[in-house]
Amino acid sequence: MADDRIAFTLIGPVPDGVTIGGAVAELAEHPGGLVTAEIRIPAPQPEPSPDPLPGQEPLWPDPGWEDGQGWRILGPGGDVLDSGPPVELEEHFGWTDEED
Amino acid sequence: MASGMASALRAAVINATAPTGATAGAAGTQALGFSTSAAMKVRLNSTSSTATAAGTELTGTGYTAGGQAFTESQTAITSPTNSITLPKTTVLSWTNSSGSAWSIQSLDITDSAAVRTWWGDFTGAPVSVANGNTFQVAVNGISITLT
Repeated sequence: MADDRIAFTLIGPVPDGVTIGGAVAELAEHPGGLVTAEIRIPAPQPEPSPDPLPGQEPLWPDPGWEDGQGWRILGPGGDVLDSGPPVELEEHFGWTDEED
Repeated sequence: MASGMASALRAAVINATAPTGATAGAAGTQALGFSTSAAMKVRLNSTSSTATAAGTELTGTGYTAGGQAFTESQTAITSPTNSITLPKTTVLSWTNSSGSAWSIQSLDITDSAAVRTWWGDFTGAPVSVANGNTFQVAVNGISITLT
């Protein structure tokens, strides 16, 4: 994952955590003793893709899972051999929303 | 599919909310008795668990006795009518290298000291996992509900 990019550095009294144009200022001390505020723009984050390109690692949520699958069996090659719905662990005391 | 709370957990809930405490007449605020210092686990069984006893645990290479630990905590619910779903973001995965097929019937959720909390059969059980294959539980593949 790429590092955040330092867009520019201000030398002046910009408090830590101040948001400037959507970026967050972070105080940093540089050689020479200057206290500056660096404006860091977060590196672009990949969007989860249901269909990663060949060679790409699948991103969470794993696109190999289909809606409603709770478990699955994979063959040695990663192919899905069988699957089933989620496991429901339930205990019923007879509560209702009105009694909360 | 049968599922529910372990009997010890039912008793612990009652004890913690009734005057059973160490101080005379006080609530049993000594908590529910489960370890909070290490991760809870999912234990896989070849037979059904019940409220009073765990099923027969899987064995063989690829399965660690006691089960697989959760690697993250789920967000706590604020209403008892909500569900907690597990695991949060990391799939649980076991690759069968035991030399023979696994037959997976049920699971138990335990604390780090193997004290059971919830139990239940897998929907579609028994699930047969041939040697060399991998059994996985999806993100949110386990749902816990108290209604």
